[in-house]
Amino acid sequence: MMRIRDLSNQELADRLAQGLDLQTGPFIFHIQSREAPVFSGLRRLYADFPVSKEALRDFHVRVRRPANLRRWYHPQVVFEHDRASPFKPLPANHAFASLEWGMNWCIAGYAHQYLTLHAAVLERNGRAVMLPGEPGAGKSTLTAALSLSGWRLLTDETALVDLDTGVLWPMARPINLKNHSIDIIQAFSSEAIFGDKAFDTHKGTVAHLKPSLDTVLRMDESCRIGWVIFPRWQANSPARLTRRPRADTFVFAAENSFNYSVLGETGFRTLDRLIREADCYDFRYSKLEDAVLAFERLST
Amino acid sequence: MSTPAVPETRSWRIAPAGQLLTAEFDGQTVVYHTGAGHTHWVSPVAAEVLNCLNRSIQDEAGLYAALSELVSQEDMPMLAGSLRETLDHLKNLSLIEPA
Repeated sequence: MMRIRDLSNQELADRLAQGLDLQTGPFIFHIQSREAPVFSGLRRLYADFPVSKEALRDFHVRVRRPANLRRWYHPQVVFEHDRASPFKPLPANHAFASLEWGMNWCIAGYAHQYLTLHAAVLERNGRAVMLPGEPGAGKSTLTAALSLSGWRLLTDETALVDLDTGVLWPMARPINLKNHSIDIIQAFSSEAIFGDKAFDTHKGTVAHLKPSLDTVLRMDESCRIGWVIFPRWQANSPARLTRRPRADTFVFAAENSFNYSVLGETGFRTLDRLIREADCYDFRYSKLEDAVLAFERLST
Repeated sequence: MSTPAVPETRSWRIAPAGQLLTAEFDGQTVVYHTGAGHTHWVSPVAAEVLNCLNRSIQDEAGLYAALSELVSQEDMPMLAGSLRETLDHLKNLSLIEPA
C-alpha cells in the first residue's frame, strides 16, 4: 500500500496537480491543488495516510486561485466540491485550513450512510468515548491531549455512527486547534507535531495536529461506544465527572447532528441504540494532566 | 374536600403528518415526531399523554381518567391543571392537535 510519505516531493506535487486520491477512514478524497500550504500540510500531517487506488472516489475537491484581479494584490484561494464553491474565497495562506474545513463540509453534507454527530471520538481498550460540546468548551484541546496520551483518535469533528450496527467508524484526520489551545498542546507534549499556523482566520489562529501512526494504521477499525462525556474547562476546577441524564444527552446529540433530521426514523433509532449503550457524564476540569488521569481511570 | 374539576371533553390526537417515536431512558422519555422532525425530552405526564394518544384519539376526560390511575390521591388536585398545561405544550410543539 502506497502512503503519502512514499511519494517524493515532485511526485506529491504532480499528483496534487492532477488529483491525489487520499483515503481517510471510509472516505476517498480526490484532492487537486497547486497551493503550497496544501502541499506542505499533506506532506507533514497526512504522511502516514494511504494513497488510494480505488477507481471510485467519494468526494472531488479542489483548492485553487479564483480568477479575479485580487489575486495579484491579496492572493486568495477558493475551496471547490464538484467544481462548485460553497464558501467565499479565503487568503491564500489559509489554503490548508480551507481544505480541512471543506472536507468536513463534504462529510457533514453528504455522508448519509452514517448518522453524523458533531463530536470528537477516541478509543481505549476497545471502547469509545464521544465528546460532544459547545464551541469553546475545550473539546478539541482535551481530544488532542488524550490522543497524545494513549487514546486512539477516531475523529476530532464528526462522529460516524453505523446505521446497521451502531458502531463508530474512524476518520483519523488531523485535529484542528485554535488560538491558545495550540500553545497549550505544544506545552503538554513534546510529541505534538503541528502543521503551519493560519493566522487571522474567522476562528482566529488555527493549526492542525498530526494524528499518531497507530491512529492512521487502524483507520478501518470500528469501535463500540462506552461513554458520552461533555467536557468543559473551568478555571480552578478539579477534574470531576458527574452523571448526565441519557434523555438530555440524546436531545443534545440530535440537535448537534449534521443529518439526524435527514435520516428521520433511522436517525432516531440509531441514536437511541448509541445512547442506550453509553454511560453519560458531564466533565469539569482545569488541568489537562488531571483530565487525562480521570479518563484513564474510566477506561480501566 | 372539593372534587377537582374534570376537564372539558375536547378530543386530541397525535399530529397526523407523521409518526411519533419514543425512547425511554431511566424513566425519562424522549419523543420524535417524524413529520415535525424535532426531538423533545418530555415530562412524565406528557409522555403518558402521548402514550395514550398514540393508541387512539382521546378526549380530555379520558386522558384525565388514564392519568388519575398513575398519580397519588394527594396529587389529584393538581392533575387537571397539569393536564391542561401539558396539552397546550404538546400542541405548541406540533406533536398533537385537536381531533
